[in-house]
Amino acid sequence: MKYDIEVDQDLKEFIPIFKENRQKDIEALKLALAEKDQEKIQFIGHSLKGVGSGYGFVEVTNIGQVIEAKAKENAMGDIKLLITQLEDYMTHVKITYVEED
Amino acid sequence: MINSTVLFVDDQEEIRFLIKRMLKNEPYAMLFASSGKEALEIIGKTNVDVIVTDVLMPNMSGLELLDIIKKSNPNIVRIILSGFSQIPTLLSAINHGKIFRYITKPWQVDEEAKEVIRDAIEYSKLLKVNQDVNKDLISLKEFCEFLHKRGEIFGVMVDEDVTYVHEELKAEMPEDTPISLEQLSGLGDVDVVILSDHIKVYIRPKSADS
Repeated sequence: MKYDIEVDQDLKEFIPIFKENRQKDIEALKLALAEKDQEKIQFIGHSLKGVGSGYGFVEVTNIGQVIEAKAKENAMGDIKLLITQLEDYMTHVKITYVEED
Repeated sequence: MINSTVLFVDDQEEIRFLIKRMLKNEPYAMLFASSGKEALEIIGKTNVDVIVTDVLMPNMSGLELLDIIKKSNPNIVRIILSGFSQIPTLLSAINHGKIFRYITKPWQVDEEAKEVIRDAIEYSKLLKVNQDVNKDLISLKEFCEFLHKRGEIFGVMVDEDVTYVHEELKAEMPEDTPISLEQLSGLGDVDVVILSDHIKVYIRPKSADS
């Protein structure tokens, strides 16, 4: 299930900041979508793609990757759905902390 | 490698934290900058061997940063950190000699990325050695001329990893000057003049003729 993830224990203290930053990204994406700021959306998608999997949030990377690609195509309808998907994921994701291998 | 320094440039604090975590056991010092401007300030003050930078950053892109560094500090080995979506841009950068390698995003604990950075450090060392040797060549040529005028029998030994220098030296040195260990062993008793870290000159003392 994509909402259940495992995160290394040593990242635990950084996770609240990670989640806070994703919330900021979601707000920034909504604003950029309203302003039809294609470049900004692409940039945020790129950032999401880069940061997600490193913290165990692979789905954030996946969504970021698609947002970046769709922004390039100027597919604003798809972007709206992707933002909703990201918001839903960040709201419902369940984290289990595990010791590093 | 322990004395080497790698500078990482990424505008996202979260990414910088991941990099630090991922490479914590690597045998080199790490520095971090959050922008191209900050990276240039660090390079102005500190000895940096390798730079790894993100492409998409506000104000100054990674490629713009590397372009500046290529001109101002050509011996810093340049690596770009990028997603597959930017491949056309990357290919252009590679073909114009702006970058040594690239590491793909997203960052993960990835042995290949570690190896790319280690390779870059080795390459940086080689660049420095070659630069030193080029400087040494001038004094070597003068020294060889001096020995030749005095009628000394001598040979020159250059580090194995800078063997390309041999061809340049051959052109400058008297004919039949020994330039390999095998040839040098034929000199018999020799005095050794260590001209630099990379070049030694072997001289057969005149008294050995008598």
